[in-house]
Amino acid sequence: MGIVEIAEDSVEDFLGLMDVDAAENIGREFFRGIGVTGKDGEAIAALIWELKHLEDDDRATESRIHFLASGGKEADKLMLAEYTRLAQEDDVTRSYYEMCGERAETAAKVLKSCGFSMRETEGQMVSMDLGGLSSHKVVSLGNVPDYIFSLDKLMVRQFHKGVTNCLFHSRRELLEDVDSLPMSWYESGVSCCCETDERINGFLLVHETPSGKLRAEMLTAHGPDYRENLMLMMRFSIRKALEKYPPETEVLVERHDDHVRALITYMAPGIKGMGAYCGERKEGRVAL
Amino acid sequence: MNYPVEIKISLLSDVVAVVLMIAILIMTHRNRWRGNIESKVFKGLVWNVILDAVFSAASYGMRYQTFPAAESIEITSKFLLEVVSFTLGFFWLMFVDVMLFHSPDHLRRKFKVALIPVVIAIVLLTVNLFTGILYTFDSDLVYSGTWLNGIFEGFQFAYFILAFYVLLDFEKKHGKLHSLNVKPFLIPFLCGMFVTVFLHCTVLALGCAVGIISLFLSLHKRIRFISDENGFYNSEYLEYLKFLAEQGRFSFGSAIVFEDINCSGEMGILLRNELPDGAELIHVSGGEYLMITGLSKRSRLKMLCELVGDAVAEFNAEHKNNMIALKTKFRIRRGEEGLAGFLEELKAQSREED
Repeated sequence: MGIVEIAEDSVEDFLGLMDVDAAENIGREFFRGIGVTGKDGEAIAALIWELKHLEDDDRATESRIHFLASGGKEADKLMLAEYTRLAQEDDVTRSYYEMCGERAETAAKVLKSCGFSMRETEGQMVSMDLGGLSSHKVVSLGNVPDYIFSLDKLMVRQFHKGVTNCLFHSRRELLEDVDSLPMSWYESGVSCCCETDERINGFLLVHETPSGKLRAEMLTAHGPDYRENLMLMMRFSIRKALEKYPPETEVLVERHDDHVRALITYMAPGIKGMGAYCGERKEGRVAL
Repeated sequence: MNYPVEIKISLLSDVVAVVLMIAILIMTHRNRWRGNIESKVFKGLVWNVILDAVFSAASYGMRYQTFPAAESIEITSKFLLEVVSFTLGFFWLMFVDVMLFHSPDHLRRKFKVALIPVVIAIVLLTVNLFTGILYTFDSDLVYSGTWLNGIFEGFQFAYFILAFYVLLDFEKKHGKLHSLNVKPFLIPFLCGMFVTVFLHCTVLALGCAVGIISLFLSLHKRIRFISDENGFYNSEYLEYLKFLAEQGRFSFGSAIVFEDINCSGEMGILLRNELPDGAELIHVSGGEYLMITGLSKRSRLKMLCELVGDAVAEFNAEHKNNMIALKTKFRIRRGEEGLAGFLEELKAQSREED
């Protein structure tokens, strides 16, 4: 058995093990992947994680494990040992995970055997269907002013300028690599921005995953009318999404802070997060 | 014409108010007071007071006059005075809004809604000309208001109350705002109103004028940090920030230096267009600009530098005779490093790089 780095040129070899939505993150700036291969080079196990706060001088680096495909006790042990080594190289102080779906329980058990805590809980990720969202009064009633418009009306440089403007003012956690993700990562007909005072000061960026889900990657606005603009952007995006996608299309939103949580509660009262397995481990000691 | 004492005092106070406001207009003619939305709204407030004083003087001046046009002048002046009194509150609300949010688009959107009471007031005042529902004039052209006029005039204060609410709401969300102090205006204004209402001596325009002078002096404390030549913060502002940082009243995460080695003169405008809104840019000297930010993420600072770099490349492609030679460097604050020491280290870092 051998350990290999899963990179853009080798991810295809592991597609049989990974779900496509996890696999597409390979190549993003802060995502890392390793896999275990058998003696014939066949993929046996895989692990994908994301480094958080790597470039923050005032915050400790953390690692979030997004995906684990178990390959048996021996392969898992090898893989997690390599992960631990790489995490230490990157000065990771804490690793954590939150996983949903079929393989989540198996993955959580593997991680537990390697020193991670494990609990079953309501996850941060919420899944809604597009048709359900469209019936909300925020979406169904009212107009969208012309200072809210879709991403395809922006040039690349305007987009980057807008992202910089939003990042400069945002006090909240946003995507780690939002400043390096290209404009093409986002669904341009559905994603939108808000322009006031000749500056882009709000974005609702939506990414279409390979499996056909719509994932809200960034929803931010600043300025005196930011609350109103957030609602207007949602109205715009959901209406545009309905023109392009069937109503049963799954929309994923991660409730990573109280603002998003409050927004989701407002848009879909009573909705619960997807069932997930979560846990964490302090790094800096060998846990095997 | 031998006017009563109260009318003489009112007329004198109106003249003084006009003189004071003209002085303010002259003083705000300097470069750093021009062009931005804040100074435009401030000047709107000043002009409002001038018109208030002029129409007030014209209205009172016509009392007890007997020449043929006196009645028309008084009625017209009173009408215009009532309109201008209403718009004073409107301009105050707009001023508070623009000083808090610095957003012309936001102001434009709120302006349309905020103007509605003014429009209603003008309609009511026009109706009054034919019906006397708000006020009338007797044979000596002495004004007398109806009970409805009391309610009408009360609505003028709705703007001031709304402005106060907007300010309180802002401070609740963002903390105390040091750049806007409303007391310098409100105290003289309220004194003028008190004298007008309870001592029947109309000095409201003078009260507003004194309020505007106090407000001007209060704003001037901040405006002195803006260079008259180019409208950027000057090095005096940097010293002020160091002072605030020592007092623990200013925190920062990093600083970026943008330098145009060619001193083409275009760097400042380019930076103003490219950098995020609200970025405080200090013109240090020549082609050198300093931006102190709250950011501590290396990738974000690099992104800012790249943004400016791309803009410079685009500019240079179109202006081959006056190209910018850009140099950028940034430094992230370590621990509780003070601002003065931090900037020294940044200078030392750039000397090493050179």
